[in-house]
Amino acid sequence: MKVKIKKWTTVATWKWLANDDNCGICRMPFESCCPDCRLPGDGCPLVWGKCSHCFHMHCIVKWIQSQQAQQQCPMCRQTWNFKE
Amino acid sequence: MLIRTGLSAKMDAASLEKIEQHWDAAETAFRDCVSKGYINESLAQHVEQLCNHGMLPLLEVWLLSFSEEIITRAMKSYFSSTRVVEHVLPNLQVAAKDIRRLLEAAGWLRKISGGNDEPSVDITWSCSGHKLDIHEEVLKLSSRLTTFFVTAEFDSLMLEIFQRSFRAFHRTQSSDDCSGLVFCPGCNAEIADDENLCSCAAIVREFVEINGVIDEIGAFPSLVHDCVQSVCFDLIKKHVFETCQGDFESKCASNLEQWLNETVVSWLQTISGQTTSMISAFKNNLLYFLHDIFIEFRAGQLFDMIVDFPDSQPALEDLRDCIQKVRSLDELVTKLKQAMTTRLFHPGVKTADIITAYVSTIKALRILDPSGFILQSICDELSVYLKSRDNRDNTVRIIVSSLTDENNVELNAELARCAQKAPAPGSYLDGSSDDESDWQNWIPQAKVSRIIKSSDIITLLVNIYGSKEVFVEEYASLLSGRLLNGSSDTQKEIMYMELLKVRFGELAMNNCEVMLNDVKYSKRLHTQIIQEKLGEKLQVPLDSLIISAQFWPELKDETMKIPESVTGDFEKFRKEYEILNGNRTVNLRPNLGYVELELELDDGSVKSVKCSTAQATLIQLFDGRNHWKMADIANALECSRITVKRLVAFWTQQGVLAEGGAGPDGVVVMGSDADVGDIENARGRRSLVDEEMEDDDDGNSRPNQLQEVRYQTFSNFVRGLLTNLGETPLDRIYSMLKMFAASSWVDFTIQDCKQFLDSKVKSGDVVYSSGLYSLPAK
Repeated sequence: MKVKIKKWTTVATWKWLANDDNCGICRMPFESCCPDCRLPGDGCPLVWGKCSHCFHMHCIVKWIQSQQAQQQCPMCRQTWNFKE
Repeated sequence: MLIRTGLSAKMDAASLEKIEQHWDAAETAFRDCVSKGYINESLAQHVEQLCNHGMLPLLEVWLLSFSEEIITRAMKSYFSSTRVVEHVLPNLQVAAKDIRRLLEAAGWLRKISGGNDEPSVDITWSCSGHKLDIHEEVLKLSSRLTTFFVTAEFDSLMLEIFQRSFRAFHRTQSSDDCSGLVFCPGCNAEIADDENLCSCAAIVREFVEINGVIDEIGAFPSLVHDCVQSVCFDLIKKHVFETCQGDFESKCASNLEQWLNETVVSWLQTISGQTTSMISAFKNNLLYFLHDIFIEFRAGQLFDMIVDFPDSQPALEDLRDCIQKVRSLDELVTKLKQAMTTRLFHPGVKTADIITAYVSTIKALRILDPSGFILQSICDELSVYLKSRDNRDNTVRIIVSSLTDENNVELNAELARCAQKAPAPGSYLDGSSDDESDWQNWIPQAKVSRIIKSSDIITLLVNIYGSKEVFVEEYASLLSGRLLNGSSDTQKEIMYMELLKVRFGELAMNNCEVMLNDVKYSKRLHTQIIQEKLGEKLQVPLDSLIISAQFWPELKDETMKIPESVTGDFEKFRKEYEILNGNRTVNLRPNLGYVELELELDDGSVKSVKCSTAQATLIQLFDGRNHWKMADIANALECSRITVKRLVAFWTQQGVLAEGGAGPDGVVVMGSDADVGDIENARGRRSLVDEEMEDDDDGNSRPNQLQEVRYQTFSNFVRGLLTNLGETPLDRIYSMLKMFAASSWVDFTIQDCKQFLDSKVKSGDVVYSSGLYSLPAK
């Protein structure tokens, strides 16, 4: 008998390459989205800081805007800078 | 004596004696009149004299008591002497003679007294202005006494006469040719030889005569009313049963009414020309009874009508019209409930059929009873049954799948229809919507919940469970199943999702939206990566579905080996993906997905199969090798033998492999050289395996899996809770767990909680003593 594969549909789950599972601000998994979003992934991307912590972009932007004096990473209190 | 005491105060002895003479003469004259049948000439004088002395009322009273005596005698002897149908009329004539004369006398007295009804003498107890219609009074007396004396035996005789005469009447009225018959259908006489032997006409004549006499002596209501009633009722009953059997596609109430008018009422008119007022009252009675019988009859068939809906719509409308004319719905409800219990609420009925019946019930009962009263009582019952887990644990799944199943025209159309006019929130708000200008026509509304009255069918179905979350969850799991087997049409799924969104709200459907988005995005990846970049570099024609695991229902996670060509190709895909989407990667779920294969068997035939990845991996082993041992397959696939057996079962079902071909543990390719018979044997076993497979595939195991996942999260929580609080009673744990569970388990009940805790007690994680739960001492 000969077996010929005409089409093999694989299923895979996508995942952020981050050093944590959950966003430190909204506590939702990175693969989920921030409370304001509906669609994950490109709809609610992650950003990394120079301190190497990462968050949902919407979450950290909100956080930074709410900070009066200095803009710090909510995890390590270092000055927040977006990683290039 | 009476006369003396009444008059002595004002009269002298001579005139008193004179009056007494007049009285005695009048009395004798009346007695003679009744016994001999003529009125003495002199009676008039006597009566006049008496009247002049204001004695008329007394005379009337006497006549009445005299009448009572006569009638009682006549009726008593009549009823006791009449034992057979043949005697009814002759005896009646005899009995009626006296009464008739009595009535004549009374009529005469009325005439005489009519001229000088103003009593000239002022006697205290002759009420001024009092006027007694003595004839009428005697009639009434006769009627009452007949009622009093009539016997059950006589009633049955009358009934017989009525039935016979009704048949005969119809025989004489109808134009049917009965020359070929041996017996006349009307009178049962043998008419084979001579049609003139038929006695129908005679019967009718006799009957009319009887009625005439009865009517004359004022006994019609008492003697005949019951008979007419029971004869008519029997007739109507029979007719309804004969004509309305099992035909739901036409209206028959109006026909029935027409029949009643033409047949029964015309007969009634014949039996007595005089008492028409009574007949017309009676006609209403009969009409009511007709409707009543009809409803009763239909009530038993209501379930069939529901099943036949919409074909039975005419019958339902028919019934509705009757109900409006006649009475309350209690009996209908009871009968329908009975029918439902015996015919629907048992384990032999498929859930899908119950749902269909439910939908038909809603539609049918909406026609039958716009107030919604019946529907409410029935729906309550049905939803309780469907909701109970013991009976039906797949209800939601069936409802959801039939909503989106094209073959289920009814619900599918319902979904689309409802989307067009989605229930505006607040549109159901009660109250002020009543048009106040129409207050005169306002009728009280049945106490029916607004949901029943105003909702569409889907809302009602969803409301079985009381929450849309359960529904949406179920839909999501169905959708995920369809998307993962590739058995879905994305366009259609999107359409359904949009429809469901209108119904359940965007938020509730968000997960499903993400799922469909994943499918869309995967298609884009397919073009961007597989078609444009990888193209020829792939060993197998790969396609990939990249999913956002957080938004999909819990997916089975199994480690499984799939062909290296596939994993290798997927690696290439992954690299491209990582380039395209920075900081993201994809993890293959080898057990998910589906494969389209083309099998070229040794006999040259080609077979196209769509199967799961595991099944494909297994059959790949047989590429170029026709014989494997189960154990070897298990080794090659790195899985258990049970799994292998299940996978092989799929291929035996497809007719590709055969079990036990070479040796007890062998698996061979059908029709190949390794296949040395034993196939029949394998076939026999196959059906067994199928059943096992079905059991396994069935969604029944799904809720349990879900349960396990929930329990897992719960048990951590409970451990923490018990550590903090120490010994805790059930209701406390329940209230805390309930808060915790609110998002994931909507209908979490205290029973669920107890069940969960009990399982923990059993496994030794929790200790239960004197109503309190605690952690075991370490």
